[in-house]
Amino acid sequence: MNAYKQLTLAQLKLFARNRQMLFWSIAFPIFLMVMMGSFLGQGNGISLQGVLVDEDGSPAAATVKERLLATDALMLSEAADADDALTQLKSGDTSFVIVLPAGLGAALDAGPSISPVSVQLYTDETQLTVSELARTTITYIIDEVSKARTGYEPILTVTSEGVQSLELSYIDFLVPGIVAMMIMTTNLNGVAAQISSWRERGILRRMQSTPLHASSFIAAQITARLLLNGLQAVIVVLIAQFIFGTQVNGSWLLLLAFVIAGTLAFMSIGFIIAGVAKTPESAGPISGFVSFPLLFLGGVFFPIQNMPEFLQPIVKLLPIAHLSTALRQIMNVGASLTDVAFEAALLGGWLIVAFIAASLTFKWE
Amino acid sequence: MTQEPNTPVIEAVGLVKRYGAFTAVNGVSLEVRPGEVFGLLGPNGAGKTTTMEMLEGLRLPDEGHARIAGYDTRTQLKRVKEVIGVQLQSTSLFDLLTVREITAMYASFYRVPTLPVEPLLERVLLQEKLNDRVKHLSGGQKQRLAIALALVNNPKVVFLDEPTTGLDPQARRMLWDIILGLRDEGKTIVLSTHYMDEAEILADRICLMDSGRIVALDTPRQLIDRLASGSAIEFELNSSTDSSAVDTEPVLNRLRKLAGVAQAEIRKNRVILYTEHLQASLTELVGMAEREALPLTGLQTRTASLEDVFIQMTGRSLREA
Repeated sequence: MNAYKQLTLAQLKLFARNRQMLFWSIAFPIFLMVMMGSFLGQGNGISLQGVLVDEDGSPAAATVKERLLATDALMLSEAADADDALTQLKSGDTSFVIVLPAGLGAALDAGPSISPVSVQLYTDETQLTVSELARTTITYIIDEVSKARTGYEPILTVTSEGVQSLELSYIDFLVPGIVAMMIMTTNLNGVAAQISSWRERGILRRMQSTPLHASSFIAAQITARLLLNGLQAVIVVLIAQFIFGTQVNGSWLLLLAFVIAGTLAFMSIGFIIAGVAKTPESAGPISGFVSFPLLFLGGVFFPIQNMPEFLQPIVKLLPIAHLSTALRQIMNVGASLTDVAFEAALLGGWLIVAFIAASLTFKWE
Repeated sequence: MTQEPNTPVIEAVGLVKRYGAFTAVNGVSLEVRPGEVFGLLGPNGAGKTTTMEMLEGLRLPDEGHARIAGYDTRTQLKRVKEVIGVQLQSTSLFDLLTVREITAMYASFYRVPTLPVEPLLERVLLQEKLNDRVKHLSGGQKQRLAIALALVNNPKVVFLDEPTTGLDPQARRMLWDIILGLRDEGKTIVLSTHYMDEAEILADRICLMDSGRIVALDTPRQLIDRLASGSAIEFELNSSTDSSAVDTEPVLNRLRKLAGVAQAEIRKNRVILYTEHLQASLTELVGMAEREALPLTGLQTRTASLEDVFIQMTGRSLREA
């Protein structure tokens, strides 16, 4: 137990004192994220694109509709069905939906004698600026229409409702990918390089000449790397939140659980490479050979759906694909464990197979 | 020590280690007594390190067995590891940890009570380097740290594999003092080296190895005394005569007939004569040189050393082997 504690502590100190390692494993992903996010992530400026649904159909409602359509600030299209319009809003195809309810014409015709009718405005809560602008503009117009009819007693009001949209910009796609990439490189490449170098330099052999258990050694490696990766993931996600406003809609715990599963799976693969590589000089190229295709095929930077058809079956088996998909589902959509059960199962499968292979190929010398 | 003073602390019987078709160690049997410095001397590739690693239990022998402090290295390896301390030939340590941190870390690997870190590091003269990172240590300091790590569990047997290789003379002497200090404390030390002066100074008994076998095993003094001839005469043969290959064998044969000469060899243009009667041999050598116009360039006489023992036993020198 004491050996485990000391080795974990030693590994954490080795991480903290290795500036280059820190740079490549924390600063570099952040740098990459900020670069790609700034160039590709925020292409769209603000436009008040909305959908108008007229459920009333009376001549009075038509005048309100015309007034709204004539407003240059609003880019409105019409839809027949409110449900369709809301689906568009939820999938991020439009920024807001205005519904002129049935009975609106009657209310306008009747004047202030009856209780006012509400125009429904649905906005995308994730786009605060757009929602606010749309709300102000539309409330102003409706108020104007209302007052022109009846003087100062409002017969039309606006009720606004926020809808959680799933409009995903590139940065929302990118951030979970960056986290997955970070987990893969620090573990797969990191473990392969470190263990093969420790073996070459006789460090493992020296430890083997003491009563130290291999299990204490490996447990300490795992603990230290889990702490490092957990910290890395939290830092990257928080920075992404701060700079780009990406969100973690799902549970942080589930997110961390996948970070842990990913760490273990890629550590095991790293151990296998360290076992297969004869020298530390060959461990680098071998882990590059494994991780580079994973980086580009595994849906880190580009969606898997964009890959050529023939690659899809292969791509869908890669461990990083499941890690990045699961992280994305949790962060973007707020998926629960049952939603990402498939990813969890495949990643877990990789973890078990790789762990068995790693323990079979592990050598102290 | 709980053991009787006469019981060997290390016993090895018929150790054999093969790597494919190559036999690295070929039937090594030896006993090491408590409190002695046991030197494994031999050229590179003689099988010293492999023998040591089999004694430490780091490598399993293909044949034979070894016991340390009564524990079998095959079946009681955990116990063996608790009572030995090991400095490997080319271990590097974590460069980014400090001397104190790495010592505390190694101490945590043992179940037996370990030595307090600071006095231990003081003993290897690293008390001023406690908080320095390993990468800032000199070669000699790193070796001293490696020895401290081998002592951390207060072992019965300390294995030092070529501890001074690559060190400058001053650092070597410092290490020798530390090793002699350990012997004075009663530690059993197994030391491998390919420097004969080191073996002569440090070892109580020397196990001379070549090509995986023990060539001789005795105290340094007795090994040298085993040579029939106590002195050696050396000179260069044909440095000034024409460089065309002279047949040296007739010359050597005539040299062997000189008074007192037990053996005559030529290595790298230098003739070495081993003699029991230095003066008589020298007188006759000078006479012969005058008759045959031999130049005797670089003539030297000296007492026979372990190097000469090795040459006599194997027909090769430590350095060239």
